Amino acid sequence: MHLKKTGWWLTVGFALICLLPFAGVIAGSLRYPGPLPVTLEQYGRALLQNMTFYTGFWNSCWNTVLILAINIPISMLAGFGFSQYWFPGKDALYWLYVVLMLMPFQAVVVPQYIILQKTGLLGSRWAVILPCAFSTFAAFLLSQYMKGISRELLDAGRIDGLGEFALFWKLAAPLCRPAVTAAVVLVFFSSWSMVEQPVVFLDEISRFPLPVLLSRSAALFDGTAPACGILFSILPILLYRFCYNDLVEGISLGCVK
Amino acid sequence: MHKKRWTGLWFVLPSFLGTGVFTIFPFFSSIGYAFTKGTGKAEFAGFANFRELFRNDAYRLAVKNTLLFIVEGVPLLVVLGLLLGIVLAKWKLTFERWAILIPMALPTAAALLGWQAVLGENGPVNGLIRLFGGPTVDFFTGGFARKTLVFLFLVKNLGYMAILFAGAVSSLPKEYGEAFALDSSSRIRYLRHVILPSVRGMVLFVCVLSLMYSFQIFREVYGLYGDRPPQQAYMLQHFMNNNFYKLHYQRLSTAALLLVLGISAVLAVFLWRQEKIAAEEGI
Repeated sequence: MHLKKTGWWLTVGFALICLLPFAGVIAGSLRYPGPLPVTLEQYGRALLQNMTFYTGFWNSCWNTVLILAINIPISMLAGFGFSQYWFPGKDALYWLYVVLMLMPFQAVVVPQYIILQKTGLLGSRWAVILPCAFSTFAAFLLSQYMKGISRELLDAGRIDGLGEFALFWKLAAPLCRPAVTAAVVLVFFSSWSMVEQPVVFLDEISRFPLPVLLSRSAALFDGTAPACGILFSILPILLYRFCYNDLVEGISLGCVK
Repeated sequence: MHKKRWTGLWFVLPSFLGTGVFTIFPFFSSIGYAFTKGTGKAEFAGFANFRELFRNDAYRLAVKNTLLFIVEGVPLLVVLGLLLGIVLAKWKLTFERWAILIPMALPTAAALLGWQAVLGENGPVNGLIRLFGGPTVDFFTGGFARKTLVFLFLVKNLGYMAILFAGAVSSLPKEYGEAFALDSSSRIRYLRHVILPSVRGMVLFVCVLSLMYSFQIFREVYGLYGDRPPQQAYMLQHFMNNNFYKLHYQRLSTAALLLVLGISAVLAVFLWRQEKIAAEEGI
């Protein structure tokens, strides 16, 4: 009985700690040097007087959308391929995918830099999008989830005359909606906070995504950084709010029924 | 039959081609750097780069800090994630479930601003410490730097791991728990004999994810300190980043090769364990 209560209290405590940073930025965003103790001045300045915020915000939006548009479809295909078929070299390739997933970006910074230089992409938006768009995390997550798809179902589809791609598109993909949602949300969160690639592959401030600007050039924001941080958090928090159920089901790898 | 043999690869191919062009091929082509010397006309240098790297103080510090961070952070994340997952599997806790994933959704840059406000010199935490007569604690640049990073890492990722474990634990049949749920000592036996064996496979999965997220701590470190973190927070990612700026490609590639070999070795052990567990469970 005692142990039960302790666990409950610790969970409540941890949940509150999780909300602390959010509360911290909100509190910070409501202050501005002036007569009023609480003011929306920072928001006004960030939205109306600061071009840096807009360019950074749009760069983040574009990068994230393009990464998702490439990464999610190819990861769904790869996850299906890894989980439902055997082919020569599959285990080795899968292992390579997990190594790539764990590898920090800095381990391939030199060769990627050279490739981007040779293809003339260095300094452009694509220099930060393409390396991230082929990250293997989503493929790993989806293949773990797709392992739960029953063989019988796919075989039944084959008997009904569905081709292999139709099996994927008509049967597997709809069944994996929670996992696909989870992959979209997690890749979104990760791309939204992208820092590693921009700081080495970009040089013009006008191309930097907002997180890099916020941490590197706080002076550009003229005391409105907390408000910019909150405005920047709105999209991921909304996404989290509306995808919550699928996200939780997708990441807990609940078996496909 | 012959056609069937390669069907899986066709599905993997689009992803593999992209990864191949942007990561796999570049990485293998850069291995050469680790064994050569000189710019322009490179000559074979054997293991000279490795010897030089091991003597490099910055590298040693970076390896030490990275390993310490992983050793402190990852096991804590896995154990706390499991305990929290067990609690979540037991109760509904709608609000708590929602709150513990918020740090994952909150962009790193915004979260850091928040933590700096909370843990800063004039923040509420230091206010509390002073209230009880303690000295002001510098959480970010003092001796606490790495501990603070471990804390940020835990808060950010614990929710995800707990939800993973909660899913695994709640799929256990209810009667198992009822047979044990009497007092706290049988509760611990229940944990050891029923829960732990049944989430073994999940533990490995969580370990792999935790390791991945532990390398992403670079975002927090960069957000807090830029290119110059304090000694305690100087990790391999910074070592490699800074050598990239200084154009020390050979040193960087040598460090990268060693890191990838290390990750591969750890992963090989994980996968070997997983296959053993899968074989034991007869899947």
